[in-house]
Amino acid sequence: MNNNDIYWNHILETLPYERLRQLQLKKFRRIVDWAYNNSPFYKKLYRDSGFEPGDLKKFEDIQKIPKTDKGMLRDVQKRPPFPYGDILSVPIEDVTTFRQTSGTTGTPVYQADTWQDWEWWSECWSYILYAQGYRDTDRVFIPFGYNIFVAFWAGHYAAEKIGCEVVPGGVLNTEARILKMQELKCTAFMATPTYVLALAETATKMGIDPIKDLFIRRITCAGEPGASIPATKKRIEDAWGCKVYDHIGATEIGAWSYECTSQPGGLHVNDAFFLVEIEDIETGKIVDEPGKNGKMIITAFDRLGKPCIRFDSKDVIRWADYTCECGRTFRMIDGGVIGRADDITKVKGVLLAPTAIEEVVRSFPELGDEYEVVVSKAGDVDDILLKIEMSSWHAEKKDLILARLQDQLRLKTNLGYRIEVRPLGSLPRYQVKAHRFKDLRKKEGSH
Amino acid sequence: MNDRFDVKELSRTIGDLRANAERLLKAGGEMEAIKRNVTKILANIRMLELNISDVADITNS
Repeated sequence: MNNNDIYWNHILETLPYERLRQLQLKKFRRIVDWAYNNSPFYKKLYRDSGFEPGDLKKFEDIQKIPKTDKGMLRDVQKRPPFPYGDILSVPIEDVTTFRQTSGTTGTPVYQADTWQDWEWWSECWSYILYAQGYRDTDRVFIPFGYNIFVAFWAGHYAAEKIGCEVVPGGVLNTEARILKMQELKCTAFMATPTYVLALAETATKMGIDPIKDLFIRRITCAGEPGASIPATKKRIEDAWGCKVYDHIGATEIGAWSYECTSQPGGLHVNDAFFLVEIEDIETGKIVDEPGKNGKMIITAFDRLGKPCIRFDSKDVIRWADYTCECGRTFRMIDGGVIGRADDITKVKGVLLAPTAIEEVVRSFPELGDEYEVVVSKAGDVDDILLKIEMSSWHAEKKDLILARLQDQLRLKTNLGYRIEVRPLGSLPRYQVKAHRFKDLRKKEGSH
Repeated sequence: MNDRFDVKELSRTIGDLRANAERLLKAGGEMEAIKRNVTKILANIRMLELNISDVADITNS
């Protein structure tokens, strides 16, 4: 294998940073022009703010362009053409694929893609899978209920594009999926971190050792931040005996970031297909220095049916202060998505990110894979209940384990917790996005 | 590493592909079997343009 064999496109992935910036400006201008001339929504948004595409002369001008957000995408759906609204930038007859967001934060957003957009989705995923070592010798299992959610659809088509043999595990239940992976000696699969752990747990219950009895060499995760949380990543890798890779994407955006096989602790941004900006949550200023958390504002350069330009994703990320030994010049974000701006909430006056709790819980080998956090009000005081699973094997050391857990939680989050210990397997299991963090204070306040 | 490929030449070849596909669409586009298959071919050509042609005119300056 020569050096070029690690890249899907070595020309773009190793382009010197200065030239990458030139490419980004050129592509940004192109998508803004396209949206302005083809989408009534974008034309109005820009005209109302006094912006014309010709005003975009240098990189810094990008920051003057109005942002978009999920609320806008929902509102626009109330206008024709049904069901997307006038953000649509192509004739409705050119739309070939419908997807929608999960609706966890409100009304689902409908996503229109043309045939070209769909090729683009799988092109973005090809960068991801190739960087993670997928080749035409892989037999890839997709344990995903192929449906209205984009999830692993594009992963499926990208794996085909790379030349892998793809096994769609759509309507099979978890046990049948494990048996099929074993029967066909599948070498890789893609799922949410939660479901990857659930698959290992179920396999073990069936008497199948995921490491000895299956043939998995790599796993690609998406949909939740788990594969970038060191304790969760380790738990998955220990359960499956192989490397687990993270990738980040979203229905309205595309698949914009990926871990490569070097795994320096962060993910590459696909700078040739996306522009990622990080905005300070307090000041609204764009942050370029590494290590500073902020909200991601993202543009997909080449998605034409329903353009995504300066979209405020609410994902909290930070630039890495390191580069990757793989040689890619694409910038890196440190530790993946740290949280969501609307998930980070004040509890007892302290900012709490649910991912910090996961990092602690999953670092305790004595505890099960699942947990749940419930924040509520006890009188005027916030209360945090953490439900965990523990095997009866550890009953004798239970108090010691709980004391250590409390210490670590306080150290990481500056907060105290009520802890409820449940038997292994008693908390809910999720196949798609997990809902482990429940803030009942909003509901209580709304009565 | 990028010198192993003549990006400008690759870009010209991709341009020829697009011109041929568009010629085919113009000549036979009233036939559904041609129209729909050429549309798919053009989508794939677009991916080549994103991968190669877009960077062909980005200079070192």
